[in-house]
Amino acid sequence: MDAELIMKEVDGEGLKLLLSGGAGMLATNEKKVNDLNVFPVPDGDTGTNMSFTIKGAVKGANGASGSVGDVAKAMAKGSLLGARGNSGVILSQFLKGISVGLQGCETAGVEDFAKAFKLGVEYAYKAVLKPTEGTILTVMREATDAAVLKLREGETISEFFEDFIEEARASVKRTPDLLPVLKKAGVVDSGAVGLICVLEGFYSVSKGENPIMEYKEDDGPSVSLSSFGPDSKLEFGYCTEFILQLMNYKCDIPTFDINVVTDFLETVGDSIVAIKDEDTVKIHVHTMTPSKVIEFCQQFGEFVTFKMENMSVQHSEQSSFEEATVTEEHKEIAVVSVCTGEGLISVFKELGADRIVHGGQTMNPSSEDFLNVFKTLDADNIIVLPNNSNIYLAAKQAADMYKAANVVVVNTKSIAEGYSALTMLDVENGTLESIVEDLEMAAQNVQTVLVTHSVREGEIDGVVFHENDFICLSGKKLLADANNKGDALIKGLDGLGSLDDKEVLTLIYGKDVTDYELDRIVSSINEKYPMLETFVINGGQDVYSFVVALE
Amino acid sequence: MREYVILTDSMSDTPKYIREKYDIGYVKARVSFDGKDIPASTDWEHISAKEFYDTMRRGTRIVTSQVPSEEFLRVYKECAAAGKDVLYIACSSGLSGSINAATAMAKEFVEQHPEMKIVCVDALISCKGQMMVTLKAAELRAQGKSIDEVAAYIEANRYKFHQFGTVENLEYLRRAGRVTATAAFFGNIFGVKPIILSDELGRNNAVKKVKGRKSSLIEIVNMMKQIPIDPENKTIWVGHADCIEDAEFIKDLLIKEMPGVSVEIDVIGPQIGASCGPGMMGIYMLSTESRIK
Repeated sequence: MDAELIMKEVDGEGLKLLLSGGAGMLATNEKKVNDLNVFPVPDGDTGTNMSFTIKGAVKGANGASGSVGDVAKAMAKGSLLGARGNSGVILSQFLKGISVGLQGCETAGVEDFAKAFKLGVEYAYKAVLKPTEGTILTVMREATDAAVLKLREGETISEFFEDFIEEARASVKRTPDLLPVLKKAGVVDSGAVGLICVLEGFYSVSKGENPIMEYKEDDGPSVSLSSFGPDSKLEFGYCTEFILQLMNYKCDIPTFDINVVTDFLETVGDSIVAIKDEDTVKIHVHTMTPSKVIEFCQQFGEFVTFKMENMSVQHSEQSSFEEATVTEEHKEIAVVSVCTGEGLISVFKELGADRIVHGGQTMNPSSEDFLNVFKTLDADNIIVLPNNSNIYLAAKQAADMYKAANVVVVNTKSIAEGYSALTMLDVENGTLESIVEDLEMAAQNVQTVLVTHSVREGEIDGVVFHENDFICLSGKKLLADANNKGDALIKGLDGLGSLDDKEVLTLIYGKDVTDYELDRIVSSINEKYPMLETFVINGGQDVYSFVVALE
Repeated sequence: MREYVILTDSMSDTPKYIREKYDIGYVKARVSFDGKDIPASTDWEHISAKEFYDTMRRGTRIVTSQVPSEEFLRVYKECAAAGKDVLYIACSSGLSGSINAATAMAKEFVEQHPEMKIVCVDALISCKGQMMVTLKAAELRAQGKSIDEVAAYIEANRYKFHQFGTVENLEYLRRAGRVTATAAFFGNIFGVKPIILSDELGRNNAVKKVKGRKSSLIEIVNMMKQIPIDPENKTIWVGHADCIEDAEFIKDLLIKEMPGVSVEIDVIGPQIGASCGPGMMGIYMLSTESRIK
């Protein structure tokens, strides 16, 4: 379809182009969006999450053909599956609304888009339990309203997008006024910025420009990490593919014999493809030990591109649909919990979690990840503990989509809350309602305190912090900054005020904590808080040196 | 009508002054540890309560065994010599086999002493709950009720004695095999305290988890106050395994939450203590309502 047509009417193929433009623009700006993080903690991933979501949309759309309505429907489905994080889920619902608006349309004109965008906003608002103004929601609503208001006879779709972007940019600047937490941190809402990127991609395609970056489908949301866990076996090895630039100082390029590489590759793998094209070499190999391949080939040159995939993951991915064969006993109530870290995973399983969805603060699982795990269970009811407020919506969305069991998502907002809820789990006593209620009560009773390192310097809540210092947070409050993790925690606990109403302190330490640091912190806690029963768990998690549950 | 002895055992934790006051006989189970085998005496004449529980705290495993048959034989002989019948109010059969030993021995004994009657009644509860059942029997006897009347009354009303308990560490009960709970209860549950009721079979049933010791103490009081107390007997017994401060806390809370009750505190004897571990806390009362099945 040429640009001229896109400006007036969009058909199914046109929508695919718009989407890949949106995905490309967002991918280019992913880091920028990630960095718009309220807290200086290394967990900014809004850009990544939204990128996964829009890539899911592209993947869905590309799998369909026909009318714009049909492609939009596939787009919505794809984005739902790929959605991660709150902003991702909101974006997916926006696209869902758009698809409903375009339903039945062979092609869509500017009026259709206007109507569809309005529906998109409606769906997005409905996705969130308590919509917060000053976020992506406000921006999409204000921008849509403004663009619709400006509609005039003969307007092109491109102009509609332009009006949308203009207002969205103005709106996003106002977000700090609506949301004090943004103002304090000196940032604007990251989800809103991500949305603008997507629309900028649409706009540039609608003007007939090429999207900034070609979207590559294979690095999208289709990899389900949940299919490869701490107890999995590496059955199929890694599909390793790269282009090697031969270097003059490393070898004699004109006489370099590709058979040297093939001979070696045969000793460490199979499915070998090795092609020499003048001064570059393209390699494809399936191997259990990619490090050997890398080391060997780097003798002759440097890598220009590199791609490596765990094929066991791919394999279980493909088979997860057919694999409805359930090997386990039927359960009335099964429990699925999100977590990461070797220690935590085994603790969570011991406490009664039937399945773990791998993920957490820096790796929000998608709705599809949840669905894939649900499929492996034979249960009447599934209780889900997302253990992160940014994962809740994706879990909820998966719960709504899943029909083979009744799925209840408990709003556990942190690993500490999830841990505590699980300690109170007793699926044998009580009804589903009472069990869920017990879990909710247990979660509500927890105060979570976190220690991580700071990724920038600044001041929040009167606490001055420096880059690479350790900071202690609780809820939305920054409690303390110190140059070592133990002091950060002790200062942070001090900052909480009286702990008289607390009885149990559970310290879940991450993989960066040394025995020495642990001993020191545990004796400090015992000394300062003799009234608390203190328990220590080797969580092995990333990002957070300490996760503390105070109950 | 022949006179009869009311007999209790180590598991009822009935202190000496009460046994003497109400004329209650006593058979002892046994505990062994560190190569010693001693009678499980609530009177603590072999080892002090503090020393006993500290031994457990040090990690020494204490093994319990039910009341030996010879112990029953000894008492039956004494009673026969005094021309008295025996009413044994036994520890719950859900927790101890003592009633089986008593019944088997009684059968054999009365064959040689056909004039004598020995009745064994299952209290379906232990500790201070069993003691309260025994006291009720003594009270009825004082009113002139016959051995059969008292036994029938106890069998009909024993479900009205309630236990609300909690332990510091469920591991003791689990090792002793004296608690009914699902596998999930025994997970790696730091800081989680079980609430233990006596069920309709007289077993300890872990019905609920509570986070934190203090919360668990408050919870047992909360659960108790949901159930109507017998207006004729408003005494609540608090049994503790060497945690007197917590017992005092419970007492104050009971008096505040359940106006009009009187509260008695006593340390739990070696037999129950060995099964539940230091820090066990049980509160017991007589209600107008039966335990929920």
